[in-house]
Amino acid sequence: MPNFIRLHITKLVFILLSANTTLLIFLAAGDVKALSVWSGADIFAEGGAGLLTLVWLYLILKSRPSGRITNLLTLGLGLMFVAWWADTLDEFIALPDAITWDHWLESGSMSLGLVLLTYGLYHWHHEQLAISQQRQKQERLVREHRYFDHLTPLAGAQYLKDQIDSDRKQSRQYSSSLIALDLDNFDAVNQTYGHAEGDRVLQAVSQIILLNIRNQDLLCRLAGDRFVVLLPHTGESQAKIFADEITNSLFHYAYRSYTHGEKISISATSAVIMAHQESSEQLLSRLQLAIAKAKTPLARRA
Amino acid sequence: MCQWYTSQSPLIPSQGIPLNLLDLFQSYDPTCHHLLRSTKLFLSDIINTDTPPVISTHQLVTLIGNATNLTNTPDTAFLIGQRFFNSDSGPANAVLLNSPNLYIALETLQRFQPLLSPLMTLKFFHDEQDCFIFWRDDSGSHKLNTKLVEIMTVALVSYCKRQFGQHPPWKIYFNYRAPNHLEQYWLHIGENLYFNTAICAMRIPKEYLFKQWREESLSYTLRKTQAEAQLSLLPAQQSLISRVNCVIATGLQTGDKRYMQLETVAEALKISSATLKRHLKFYNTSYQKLLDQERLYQAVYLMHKEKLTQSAIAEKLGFHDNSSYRRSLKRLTGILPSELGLI
Repeated sequence: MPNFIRLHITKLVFILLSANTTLLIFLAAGDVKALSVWSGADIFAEGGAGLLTLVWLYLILKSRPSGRITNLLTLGLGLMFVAWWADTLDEFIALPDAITWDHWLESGSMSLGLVLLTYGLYHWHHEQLAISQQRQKQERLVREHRYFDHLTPLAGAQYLKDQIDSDRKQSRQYSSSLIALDLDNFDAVNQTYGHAEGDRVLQAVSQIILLNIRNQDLLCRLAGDRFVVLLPHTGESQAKIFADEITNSLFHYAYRSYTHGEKISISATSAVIMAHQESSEQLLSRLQLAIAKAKTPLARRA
Repeated sequence: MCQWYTSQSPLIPSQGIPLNLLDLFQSYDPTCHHLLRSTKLFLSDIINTDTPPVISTHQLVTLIGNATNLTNTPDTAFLIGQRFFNSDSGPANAVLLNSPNLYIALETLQRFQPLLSPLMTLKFFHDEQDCFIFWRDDSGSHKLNTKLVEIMTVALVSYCKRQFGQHPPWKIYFNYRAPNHLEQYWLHIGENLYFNTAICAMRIPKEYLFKQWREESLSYTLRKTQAEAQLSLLPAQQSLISRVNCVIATGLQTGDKRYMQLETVAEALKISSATLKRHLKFYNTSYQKLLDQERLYQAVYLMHKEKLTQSAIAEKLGFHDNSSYRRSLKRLTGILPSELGLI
């Protein structure tokens, strides 16, 4: 909350000041109406609209970083609030008939506010397209924030299962491949450097993998230190090449610890399978067998 | 000194397991308001004072429930489990971490159960090939039972992985159906999983029991003395549920049928039947349920350890005949006596 106020202090002060100025001007120019002529319905509707505008403003400021688009949206909503505010004040304070500027105050700030809000929304739309483009490899075409992982910027196992199932329904001849990537000795990282460092390693690793996959691919964190890449319309041999490329780039990545900057070596084991006509559960359990086999040391494989 | 503690008795130092839980989930809830909701605990009391509060198993269960609700991700129990024994929380934990081998570690878990795993009791036995380990509920929290099984199973698996330096060939049995988040089980528990079995169990080849991890050191002995001292300060060394289970088990083992009655058990505990009933109600359980569970455990024990036949087991557990044993087992677990064995 303090952070929220610090970021947007100028805008908030500006809105409060204009609301206060409007109130003072109204009081200076007119007289307070008697209780008997107050109109309950009007006060409720106009005041309620003003309050709702403030709620929208709060939600927008709370969910956005500071910047040009945020300023536009704030200004637009702020002006709309001032218009509703003046409209509500009308119900309590009677202005002499000679005064016409109050209509200008209400209608003018409302129209200007709406124009600014629309302009801001238009730019927000463009910004969102750009962000979606960047997030393409993490969520493809469906957004479901409930399935997002809390640690890495990736989706979790449930999202992957949903995507596999919906892909399978869409196309009869489905030829996708899955890569499972499992970090080697990740427990040792947690033990030696602590779980917080382990979490940072996972975040770094997810970024490295994201850089190595194509735009149409999807990366999810299945559980713990295990990642899965879904490669649509890709054969197994092609997927094996991708898997090797990812493990190579992880192997060459020099991760430095957060506290003392020591190098933590990262390596990963990968397994690749091709999807047949099977449910996501069956597919994932086949993938599990493949990665378990790949992880077993050669000596213990009988 | 009392023979047993209840789910409301102050038992667990809040700077041990509870503080580790708060640490783990603080990133979700910086003020810890959600985590501590209806636990009657305050963060400032736990971290600031010289005399931190001592909490009951009931409060700990509430805390774990809050954590799972807060994160709302399937890996919560697994994250708790991974750190459960691998964090520094008192001398008993140090004894566990410095155990010379798995057998002594399991004995340590039993000896210092109220300090190390206050929510579940560990039971184990071994036959010629394998060692069987069971986690039995000691907190009366039905809603969270699966979560607690997950936590304690992962705790022991990751403890052993750390001690052996590799993943020993566990076979793990669960008495419920395969969950949606099976991938978490694969990753944190292992590949050899069996679901819908009669009883939750963990199985490891017997040779792993006595593989030497390290020599018994002097500091190990010192820590053990400290842990014993800490244990003797507790209101009791066994929960009411464990105590009742022990009495029933002794009754079943000696073939004394009087122990099938609530009254006899209450007498052995030196309380009235009504008081025992009331206490068990606090644990959301009843005498019949405990008797059923103990019989189930004994049946598995007699089958694997003593290699008894089904009819001998039925007789030993106080059933009139084979068919009433069969019916009772079917009602309790949905399986037949022939399927009772852990594959």
